[in-house]
Amino acid sequence: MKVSNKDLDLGLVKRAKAGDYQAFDLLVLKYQSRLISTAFKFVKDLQIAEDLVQDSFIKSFKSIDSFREDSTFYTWIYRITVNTSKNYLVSKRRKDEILQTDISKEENFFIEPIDKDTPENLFHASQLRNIIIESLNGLGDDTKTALTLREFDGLSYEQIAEIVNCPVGTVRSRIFRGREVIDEAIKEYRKGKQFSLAEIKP
Amino acid sequence: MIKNKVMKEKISALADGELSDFETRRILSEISSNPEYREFWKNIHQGKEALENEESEFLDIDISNRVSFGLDKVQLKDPEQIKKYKYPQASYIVASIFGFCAVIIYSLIPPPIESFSDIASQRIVDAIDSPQGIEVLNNSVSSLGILQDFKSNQKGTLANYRVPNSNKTFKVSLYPIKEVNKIGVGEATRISYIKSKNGTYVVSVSGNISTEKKNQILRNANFFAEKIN
Repeated sequence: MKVSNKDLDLGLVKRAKAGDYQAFDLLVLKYQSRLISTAFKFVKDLQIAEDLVQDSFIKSFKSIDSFREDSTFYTWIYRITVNTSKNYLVSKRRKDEILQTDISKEENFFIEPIDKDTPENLFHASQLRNIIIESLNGLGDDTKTALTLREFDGLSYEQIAEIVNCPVGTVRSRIFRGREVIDEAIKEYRKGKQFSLAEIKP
Repeated sequence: MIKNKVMKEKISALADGELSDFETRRILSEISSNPEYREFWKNIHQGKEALENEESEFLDIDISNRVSFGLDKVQLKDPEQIKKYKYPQASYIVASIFGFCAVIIYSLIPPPIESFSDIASQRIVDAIDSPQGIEVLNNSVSSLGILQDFKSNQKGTLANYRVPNSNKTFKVSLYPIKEVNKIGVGEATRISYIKSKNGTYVVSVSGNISTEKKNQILRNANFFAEKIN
């Protein structure tokens, strides 16, 4: 039996409905990158995309009781993000005009151009993806097989255990070991990024 | 160390929906209270996202703290949103009992020791109330920008900078949160909230520089605020 992502999320949603913010926090961590990508497609600005996704998560938590569990949590939050992004675009034109009048006339401050996403950000994203894929490829055969069957084919631990002919507990450990290696690689990458930033400082 | 591994293995199983309800209940509070476990959960999903979606551009971004801060603010403003009990009367009774207990407990415990961020925040508050506000901003920006213009008063400090050797411009400001509308919604902004005894303050960086540089300026703001006498 395939593990349903919907059921997994619904478990967390039910806890969030009962007021458990910790469960909602895990959903934020899980979907934030994907939703920022969605918002970015509308506004073409990373900072604003982050703000819009932040707003979308806040709205969704406030109205979590209205979420009918017949769709997935992701579909629901995706829709909220799209609507928030569209509304932003509609109101942005008016706000830009008001801001320009306010600041340029009364305070003599310039309006900076809207922050475009830089190739630097895109470079970091593809670098991180490469690191994750390289780590996966560097795993031992057993670990790599278990993790690949889980991540690419979405098989349950029980199904994987049947295929590779070992106990379910072993599958669980192998998948964990694989993720541990990837986790270490991501941490190393982040340390490296911090180091290169520190070099800018005199 | 062993406990750490066992916990992480459970987190990995949770991400795959392979953990029992009982174990899930136990593990949720552990994840939220331990930054290492939270990061592991986040990295698992970054890994999944990278493998599933080749076009994903923003893998290394984390706005979860901003979301939780925003929700705390929302909940304080709108306590009716916290609907945890099925029967309203019961929720009032429980809230009353809880409130009474909280007052008693609060009066018995000693005041907490100030953390680094509290001390740093206080320094920023002092700096805002003095001509040193611009000094905090200048030090925070350091060699990343040349000061073009600034305005400072009791409501906050706002400064415009230009990146050396390019025409890129950016703005850094220091405002009490009640003045937060001074930071325009249309302006791409990276902000950091600073708690203090006198209230919450906002350091903001906006403009045509990278996210990393904006983050660096925000970190510097905390660091240099501590250096102000």
